[in-house]
Amino acid sequence: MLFTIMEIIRIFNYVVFIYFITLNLWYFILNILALRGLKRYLLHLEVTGPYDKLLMRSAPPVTLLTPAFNESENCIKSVESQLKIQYPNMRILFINDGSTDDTLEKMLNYFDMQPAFLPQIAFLETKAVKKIYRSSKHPDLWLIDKENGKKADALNAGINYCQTPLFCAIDNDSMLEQDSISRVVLPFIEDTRTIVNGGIIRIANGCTFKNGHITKVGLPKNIIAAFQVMEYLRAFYSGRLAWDMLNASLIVSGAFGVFRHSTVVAAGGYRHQTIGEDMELIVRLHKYCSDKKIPYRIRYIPDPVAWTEAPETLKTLAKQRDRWQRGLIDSIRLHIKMLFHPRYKTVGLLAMPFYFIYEMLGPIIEISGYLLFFFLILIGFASTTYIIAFLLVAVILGMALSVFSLILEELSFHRYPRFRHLLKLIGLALIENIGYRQLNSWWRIKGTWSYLRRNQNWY
Amino acid sequence: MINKISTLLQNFVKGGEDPFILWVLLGLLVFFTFSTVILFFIAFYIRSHNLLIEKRREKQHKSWDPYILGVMDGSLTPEKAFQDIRANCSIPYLMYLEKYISVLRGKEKERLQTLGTLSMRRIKKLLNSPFRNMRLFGIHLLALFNQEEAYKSIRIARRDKDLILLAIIEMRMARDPAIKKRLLQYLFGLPFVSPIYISNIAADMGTGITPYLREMILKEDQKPFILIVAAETLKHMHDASCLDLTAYVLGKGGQMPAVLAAWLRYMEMFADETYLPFIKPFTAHAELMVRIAAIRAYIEATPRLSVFFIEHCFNDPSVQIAVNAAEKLHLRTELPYIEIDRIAAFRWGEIYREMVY
Repeated sequence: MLFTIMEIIRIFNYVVFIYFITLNLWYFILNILALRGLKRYLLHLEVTGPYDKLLMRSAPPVTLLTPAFNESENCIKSVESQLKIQYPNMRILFINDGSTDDTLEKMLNYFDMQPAFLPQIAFLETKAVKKIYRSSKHPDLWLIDKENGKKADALNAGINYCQTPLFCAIDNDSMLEQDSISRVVLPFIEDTRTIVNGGIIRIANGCTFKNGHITKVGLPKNIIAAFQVMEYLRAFYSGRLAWDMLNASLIVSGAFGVFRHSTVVAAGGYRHQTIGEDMELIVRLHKYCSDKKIPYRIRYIPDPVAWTEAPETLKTLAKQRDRWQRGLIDSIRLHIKMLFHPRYKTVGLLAMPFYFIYEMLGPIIEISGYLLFFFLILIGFASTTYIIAFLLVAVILGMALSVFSLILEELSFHRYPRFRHLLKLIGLALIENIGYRQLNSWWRIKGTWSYLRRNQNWY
Repeated sequence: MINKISTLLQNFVKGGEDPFILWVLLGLLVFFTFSTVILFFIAFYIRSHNLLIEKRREKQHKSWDPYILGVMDGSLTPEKAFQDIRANCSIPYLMYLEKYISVLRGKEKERLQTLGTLSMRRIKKLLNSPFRNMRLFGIHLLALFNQEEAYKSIRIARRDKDLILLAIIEMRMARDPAIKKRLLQYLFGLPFVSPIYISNIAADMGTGITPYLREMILKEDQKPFILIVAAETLKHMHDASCLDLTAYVLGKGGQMPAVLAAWLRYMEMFADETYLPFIKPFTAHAELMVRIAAIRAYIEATPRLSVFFIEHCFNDPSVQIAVNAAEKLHLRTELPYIEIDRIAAFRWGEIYREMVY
């Protein structure tokens, strides 16, 4: 019996060791690809930047879809900021997803909205639409009032009434920079294969906003939000840029992404029964286009920015991470057939396995590894020196990766202007690997557990 | 080898006595710590370097300005200025020169372009650089200083779509017809670039490309995509010289509604009465997009509209036809008299709804 347990422990140790080596090898490759992608994009900006502006004379119309549920506090501010976006042909569709507070009343009164008619273009299944309104102050602002059906349902209702070839899905608490839409639309003009393009999400905490637009970039004082600044930089610079180079992006953030309307409708729109509707849609679009042999590109560019408020308490952050993990597992489970399937090329052979092994199972392996090492030390089966050395290597490697993302930021847009911002970011890169990273993994394990218990709450 | 690694791993997880793994781990620890520290310094270096460069640029710009301004107003010869400007062949200097050139016209621009061409040796070196981004800068500067004879020396990998596209954008103002033709061939052959993008770039090349567009239109078995882009480009250029191909294109595009619609949209722009017989049959075409384009072109070109035609538009099964007709009719000063009862019978509710919403 003891022998069997020891044998299992031994095998698990191998798993942890191999996981550690391969994960860091992957990160190394992704960082190199990201650096390449960033250099290419910066050069493109420098050389053809002025011409891109000329292209805006042929800018395709875009509809901003903003789903909102009980957003009474933010709705006016957020719509006002959207109205200031500089884009020649844009319509805003605010979707009130059956709010129980005074979101609807506030919107109707503030923007002087009157009942109006909008033809239904697509027929994705959604909860009933009660009424459509149009602002008499801003003719391009529309409101759909519908019964509550969660975010995916609200977005589908917006897609049904979207009259333009492109739509941009954004969260109500996201604030777009004035030229964000122009930038994010460009890949659609340049390459007809582009069906989705996402921009970078940055943390708004600590920044100063005036009339819905950023006036001063800063870092949050709250340490939890500050950790997320570093985390987002790593995810958006190292991760997404690299996957974009491989045409294997599996995530375009629900907070800011532009989609080709016809393709999304043909693929069936957002899935209602999933918690991670943004990732699930992207994976499904990969599947749909590959199955139908439609040439396509799902892009990410690091320039157009949406600023979003990050959770500042451990409780809210834990809920967010729990939800993300459930969304990830659901998206992978629903499209498990794509895993290692050569038909889906880089998506099936690289991205899906990466997300499956390192993002979905990663936290379980990582936390189990910590526990096991601790247990082995306790029973005297493992050498403390070896284990500590191993853990230190893992932590230092994590720091190196974080600092590399910071270098990518410095090489490109360096949005945090002051020297002390840089110092603070470096400090965060150092300490986030001790404690915060492990906490994150723990929340994600909890997310896995609640997924297995079939918890579908959005919170 | 595998056995050895396996034994070492076993020793590691069991906390064996073999110090090799510990050494490896310590080595990795030192290496990654060292790498992290180096990366910190790189981050600092980049930030400081950027700040220093910004300051240095400001200083450089101040020192270049008198020479550039001198050449601009003719008080200094380009050759003299070139001799006196330090770093006269550097990319930052040439890019700074661009800022002036891009906002100037006439003689001042020409003088600065002459100043830029004095750095041609450097630019040609860039064109032959093994680095893609250097070649890109080279192409950019070459176009800026209007050095057409050097275009032929550009090395572009045929598979590098981005570079080809950038080169075309940069060189679109070239005057040499042979270069224009080559650029158009490249441009129309690029896969997956949207027609809007292509026609915008092509239109920027100017009317000098019309003979090549004609050639493309008249080519046997030409792809519909190219016919559409050609029509859109001619429209963008306001160039009526290809209208004489109307019979040919409309005949050829019989089975291709998108081609017909694009050509009719082109015709709409010039309101030429002589082509009315060609347009009229398409006002009753089965495809909506063709009907819309034909109705718009017909209303634009016809000097006197008949009551019958207006009723035909407003009674079309698709309200889109009525809307487009209404938009065009609204701009006309002269309209035929129609009895009020017959007007009242039009589907105004639907038309209004379509126009407003």
